[in-house]
Amino acid sequence: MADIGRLKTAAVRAEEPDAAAVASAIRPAPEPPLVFVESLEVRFGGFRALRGVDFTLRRGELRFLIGPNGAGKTTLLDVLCGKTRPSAGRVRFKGAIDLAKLQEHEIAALGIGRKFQSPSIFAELTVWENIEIALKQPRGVRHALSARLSAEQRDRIARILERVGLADKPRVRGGTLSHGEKQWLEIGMLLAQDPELLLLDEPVAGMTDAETERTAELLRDIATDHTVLVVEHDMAFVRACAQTVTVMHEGAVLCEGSVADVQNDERVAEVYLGRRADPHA
Amino acid sequence: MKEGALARAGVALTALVAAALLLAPFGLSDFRLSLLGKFLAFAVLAIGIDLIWGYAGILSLGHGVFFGLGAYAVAMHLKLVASGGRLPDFMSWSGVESLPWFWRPFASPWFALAAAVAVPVLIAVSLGYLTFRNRIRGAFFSILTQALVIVTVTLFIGQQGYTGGTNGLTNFSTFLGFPLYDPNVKIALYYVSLFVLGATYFLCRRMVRGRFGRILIAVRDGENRLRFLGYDPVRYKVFAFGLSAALAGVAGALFVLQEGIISPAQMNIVPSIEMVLWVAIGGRGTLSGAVIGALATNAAKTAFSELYPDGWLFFLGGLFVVVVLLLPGGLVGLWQTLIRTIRRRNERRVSDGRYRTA
Repeated sequence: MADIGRLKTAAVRAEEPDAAAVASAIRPAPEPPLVFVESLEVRFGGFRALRGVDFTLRRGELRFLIGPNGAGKTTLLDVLCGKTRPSAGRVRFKGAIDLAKLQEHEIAALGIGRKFQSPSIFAELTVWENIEIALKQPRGVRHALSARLSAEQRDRIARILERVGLADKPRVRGGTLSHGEKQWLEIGMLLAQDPELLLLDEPVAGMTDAETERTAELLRDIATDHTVLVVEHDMAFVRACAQTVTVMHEGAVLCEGSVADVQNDERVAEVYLGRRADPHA
Repeated sequence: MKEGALARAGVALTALVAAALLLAPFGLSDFRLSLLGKFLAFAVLAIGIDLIWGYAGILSLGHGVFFGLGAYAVAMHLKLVASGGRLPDFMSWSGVESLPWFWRPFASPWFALAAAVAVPVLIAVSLGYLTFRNRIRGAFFSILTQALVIVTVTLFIGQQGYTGGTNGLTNFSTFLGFPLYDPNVKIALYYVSLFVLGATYFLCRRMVRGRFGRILIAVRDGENRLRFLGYDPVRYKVFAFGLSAALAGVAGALFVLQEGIISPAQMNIVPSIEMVLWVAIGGRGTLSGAVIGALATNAAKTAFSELYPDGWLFFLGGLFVVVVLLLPGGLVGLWQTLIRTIRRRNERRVSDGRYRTA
């Protein structure tokens, strides 16, 4: 661990000066991209899950990340939220913040929220309490000991429950919800957290068609006032929501563009679909 | 029985127990009273274990150490008072010629009481911080707490000249000028214990019913999920573990004042595990369960060990097996199940009635 840490710091230090130089040379004061990833590598033992990912996400985007199994999509999200440490490369938030150096809770406090593939909510807490705990507010012990919900906060929880369709179940224990409802509760928790950047990993996995449609609606709604990065396999869902799609393959970014562009791309057809492109697939 | 009647019975039962505890000094012999007073001290400790185990899911099998350190801190003061300015007897037997430096401040009763809380907290916070920060959890943490017990007990037995060794510390006389064996002082100590238990109960209840309690449950349910919400679980766990150790220290101080002796045996592995059993039997995750468990198990222990001195451990083991297999919610869980069952039966009866009239 110590060795990796040292390598990481060394790598960052070597790259930092020219990054600043480049940034100041191009434009005087441009808004940095919300997420900037460069030559990102993640190794698990001998396996290279990410081999040199370059990726940029601007504020306000709704971006989809697709690619065959094992392409490294989830790993990329894991790096962005601090769950996995990069082995090499750079991960910057808002231009200057080095996400590789921060712990999960520190990254979350910066305004990056994560929804996992299998719904992870607090089973023993009620729907209301799940949202309450996620609500944007100080996270320290001292605050928690004396915290009381203000009328405004109650109102906010009620509105979030309304938005994710759980308004009639505030007192139900999280663990007893259906799969789809758990997914929505988790999205509701993300909304309560009110992060600048939402990372969603397969939000419609295991949902019925009706649930998927409702989630798509919810996602478009959320994207109007948040930056969202979604990993998704369900192409119908991607078409229903996507503005821009990034295709990953074998730990690197293959191409980027609109849904139509990507589906007509020869390389994507070869690696992702395993056959020639069929725009109606 | 009607559901409302049952709920009323619950309230009445609580009131009855509270009244009985308040009036106990008028009905019990001195011996029984100081026994009950010690059980009240145990209940304080049980609330602390319930906080970390029942709510945050941290199983400590080392609370005997925190209890013992609290007791020893007060016992050191009592020993110095009883020795009346001379070297405590066990020190001269072991060839220690002058009072060790770390014994000196214990001449002050206030220092001793403060140390009874501060020393357990300090150890719990250091151990907790190092393990929780390195994300050591579950059985691994429990094993570490057992290691803490072995290290502490070995140290206390080995350093006979400083700690009294296997025999521990005993032969006390007065505390704050009050003779400990005076019946009136015993009654006063009993009420102090009762007050401390009541205060602990209401304070902790306030805590677990607020957001702090919900975050502790979230730590148990999904510590990693909590991190991605921006919480640092390490802080919450260290705080809860420290608070739990403080309560164990308070319990130890109350205990030694009433028992008149503390020895390494009382903080060893078996007592440490027994403390967890009190909470399991009473019902983890409810503070009343912890109190009921501590009082009921110890009362049963006394009754059984008086009747069948050799059978107690078998009974305790058997009780634990029964609770784990059949009553995961403990005695309080049993009560709650009973209320739910009766409620459901009443609902069924009501709906049956409707069908019949329809």
